Amino acid sequence: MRIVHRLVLSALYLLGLGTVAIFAWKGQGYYLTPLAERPRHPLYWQLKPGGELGLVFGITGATMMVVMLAYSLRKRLPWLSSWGPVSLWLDYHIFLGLCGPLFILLHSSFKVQGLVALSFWSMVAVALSGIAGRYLYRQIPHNSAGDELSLAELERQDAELGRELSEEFRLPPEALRRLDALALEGTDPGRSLAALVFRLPFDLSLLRLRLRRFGRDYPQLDRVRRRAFERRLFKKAVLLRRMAFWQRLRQLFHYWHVFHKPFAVVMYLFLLVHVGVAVLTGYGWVSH
Amino acid sequence: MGEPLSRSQALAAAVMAVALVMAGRGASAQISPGPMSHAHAGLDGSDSCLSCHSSGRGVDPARCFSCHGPLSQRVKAGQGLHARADYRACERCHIEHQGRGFELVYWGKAGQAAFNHALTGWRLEGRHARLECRQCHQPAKLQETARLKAGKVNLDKTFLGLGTTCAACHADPHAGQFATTGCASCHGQESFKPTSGFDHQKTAFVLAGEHSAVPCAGCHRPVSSGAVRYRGLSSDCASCHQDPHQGRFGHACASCHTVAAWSEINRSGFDHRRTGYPLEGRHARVACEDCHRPGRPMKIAGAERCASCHADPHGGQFQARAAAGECGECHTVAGFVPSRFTLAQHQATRYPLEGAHARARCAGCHGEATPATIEQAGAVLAFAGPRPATLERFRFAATTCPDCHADPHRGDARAYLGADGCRSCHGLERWREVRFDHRRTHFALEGAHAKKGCIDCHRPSEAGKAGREIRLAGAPRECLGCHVDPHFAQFDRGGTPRPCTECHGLEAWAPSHFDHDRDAAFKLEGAHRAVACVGCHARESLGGKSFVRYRPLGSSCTDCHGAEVKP
Repeated sequence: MRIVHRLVLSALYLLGLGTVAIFAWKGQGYYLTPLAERPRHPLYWQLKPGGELGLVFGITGATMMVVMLAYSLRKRLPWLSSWGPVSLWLDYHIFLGLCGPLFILLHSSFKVQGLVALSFWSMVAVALSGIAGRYLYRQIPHNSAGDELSLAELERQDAELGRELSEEFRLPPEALRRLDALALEGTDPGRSLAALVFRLPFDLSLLRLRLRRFGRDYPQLDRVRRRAFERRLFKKAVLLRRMAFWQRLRQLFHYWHVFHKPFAVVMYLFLLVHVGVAVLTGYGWVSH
Repeated sequence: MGEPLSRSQALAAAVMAVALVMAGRGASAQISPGPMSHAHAGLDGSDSCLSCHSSGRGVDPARCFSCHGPLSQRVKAGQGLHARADYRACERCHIEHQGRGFELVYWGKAGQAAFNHALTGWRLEGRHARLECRQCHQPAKLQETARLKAGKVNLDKTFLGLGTTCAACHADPHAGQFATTGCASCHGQESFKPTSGFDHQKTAFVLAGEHSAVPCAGCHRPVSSGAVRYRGLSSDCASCHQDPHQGRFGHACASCHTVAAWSEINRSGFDHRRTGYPLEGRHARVACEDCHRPGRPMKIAGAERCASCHADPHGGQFQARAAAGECGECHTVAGFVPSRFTLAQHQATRYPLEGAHARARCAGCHGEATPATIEQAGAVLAFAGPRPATLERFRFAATTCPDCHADPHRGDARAYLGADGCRSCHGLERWREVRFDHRRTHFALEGAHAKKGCIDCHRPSEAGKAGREIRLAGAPRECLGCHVDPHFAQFDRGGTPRPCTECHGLEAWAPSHFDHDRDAAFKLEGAHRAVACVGCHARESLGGKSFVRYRPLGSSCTDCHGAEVKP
C-alpha cells in the first residue's frame, strides 16, 4: 500500500512538474518578452492569462488549490478518518500545494500585478510556508497514522533504541551515555526559537558527521551491520534532540499555523474574487 | 517568547491585517489586470469592468459601441474594416490593460504605411496608395463632423468620416459639369492627367481629322468662373471657329469644308457657281487656296479677269492689242496651251505667215528672248514679280529673215542679194529650193555640174556652235578641188596635175575624149587595136586602193609579151 502510494505520488509529480516544465520551455519566448511587447508576440493569444492555454493553466492551478483543501477537511471531519492516514492526505496536499502554484505561475505568465499580485504572493507565502511547515512537521515525531507522539512515547522509543544498541551491537553503557551527550549538544533551552529554526538543518548535518566518527570507535562490525549500527545511532541521537526540542517545536508549529492559514485564507478569498471577476467579465472555460 | 496566541485569534488577526492592507491600497483598483491605455484612462477601476466586458462574452463589442457610436453605425451598415467578420472582436486589435503608454492601434510590424486599405472596403490604387494616411484622413476632409464630435470622436486621430467620393478630398475643377458621371469615368487614380478613362469618340462630338490633333484647351476654354468648359459646347463650327467668309456662304461650314483639314474642301458639297464664277476646265481641278489665298479676302476682286490670279507670262507684250492683252484672246480655261490664236488670226498680223512659216511651230519663231531684247523691239514689259531671265518673244523690231534666221553663208552671199534679201535665192516653201544664176559667179555651171545640188559642191560644215555653215565663197574651181584623182597622179606633168578636161568632158566622166594614137606615145597598130584596154593597162593596187596602170608602161614587145616573144 505504501509503495503504491509512492508510485502514484511520483507519477503525479512527474506529470505535474513535467507539464509545467514543458509549457514553460515552449513558452519561454513569450515569457521572456518584456511586458510591454508581449501583446505583439505570436503566442500572446495562447499564453496570456486569459488566453487559450493561459486560462487552462489558471483553471488547472485553481482546481488544484481548491482540491488541496480536502486535507483540511480530512483533519477536521471525523468521518473522513477512515479514508486513509493524515500523512497520506498530507502528501497529496503538498503535491497540490506545489504544482498548483506552478500552474498559477504559468497562468499569470509571470506577470504579477493588481489583485492577482496580492493573491499570487499570498499563494507564494502559503506554498513556501507549507514547505517550511512540512519540515517542522517532520521534526515533531508522529506515528504511522500521522498522529503526534507524546513525550512518554518518545522516551519509550529512546529506551528501546538504547536496548537495541546494547544488545545487538554490544555498545557499552558508557558509550551510550557519550552518544546521548553528543546528541544533546547544542540543545540549550535558552536558544531563541529563530536560532533553533535556522540552525536545525545545520546541527543535524554536524551531528551526522560526529556520529560517523563515533561509530569508528567500534570497528569490529562488518559493512552491513555497520550501516545498521550507524542508522540506530543517528535515529537515537535525532530522537533525543527531538525530545529536547519537543516542546519548543510544538510551539513553533503552532506559530507556523498562524502564518500559513491566514495567507491561505487570503489566497482563497482573492481566488474567489478573481474567478468571480473573470466569470463576470466573460472568461469561461473556453477563452475568447 | 511570550504566551502563544490561540489559533483562532491569530487567524482572525491575520485576515484582518490583510483586509486592512487591501482596504488601504484600494481594493477596487486591485481587480483590474492592469491600467488602461490613455484613450480609456477614464475606465480604470473595478467599477468600469462592465463598460467593456460582459458575462459570457468577454470584451463585448456592443459595450464598446455604446461609446463608439459612429463606429457602431458603420458596423451596422456593414461598412469599413470593423464590419468585417474577422475584425469584430475589439480586443483582438485594441489590446487593453497594458498601461497608459501602450499604443491601442497596432498596425503590425511593417507599421501604418503597410496597412492593407482594401480591408476597409476601399482599395487604394495609383497615387492614393502612396499617400500618407493623414493626407486623406484629416479633419478638414471629414464629413459629418458634427455627428463625429457628438460621438466624442477625436477628429485629429480618427479614420472615420472620410467619404469615398473623389469630391470628398478633391476640389472639382470642372465646377460640377460632370456631377452625374463622376470623376473616375475620365480620370485614373495614378494622375489627374491624362484622362485615361475618357474617350472623346464616345461623346456626342466625335473628333476626326484635324480636330484630333487639337489640344483639349483649343476647344475647351475657361469660362468666367475659372473652370474649363467641357459641357454645353455647341457642335456648330462657328462656336469655335470664326467665319472667314463673314457669312457670305451661310453657316453650314460642313457643306464645303471637312474636318480633315480646313483647306480640304468638300467639292461635291460646294457649288462654285453660287459665287458667280463657275469653275471650268483646269480651274475645276486647282486647290481652292491656289486662288483663294490665305490671308486674303475670299472674294477675289476682278475675278473675271485672268490677271486677278495669273501673272502675265508675256510681260505685257500684248497690251497694245485691241483686247489689251486679255488672255482669253488666245488662251482658254482648258489650259494655257495650246493657244487658240489661229493661223488666220496670225495672217491678220503685221507678219502673215507664208510657205514654211505657216507650218512652223509657234515657238519656232516666238522663242525665248531676254526682256531687254523684247524691249528693244518697242515693247513695254511689266512683270508682277521679278523680271524673268527670258520670256517668249512676241514683239519683233523687224521681220527680215536674219531677224529670225542665222546666215549659214556667213555673209558669203551678200554680194548677190537683192532687195528681197535671202528670198533673192531661197523660197519660203523650202530652204533648199534655191533660185540662183551661178553664172553671176566666176564658175558657170556646165554639163553635169549644172545638174548637181548646191551642197554637192558647197559642202555644209559640221554643225558648230553657230549652226551648220554652208560657205559659198572660196569654193575651188579646179577639178581636184572637188573630185579625187582616180589615176593617182599618173598624168601629172612635172608635179603639176594636168586638167582632167584634157581627157574627160563636163557632161560625163566616161567616155573620155582620149585618142591613143594622138595623145599617147604608143600608137595602136595591128592586133593591138583589137586588144581591150585592160589587156595592156592592168589594174594594180597601191596602198590598199586599186587603180589602172596607164603609165609608165614599156613600149617594147617583151614589156608585155615576155622574153620568148620574138620582136
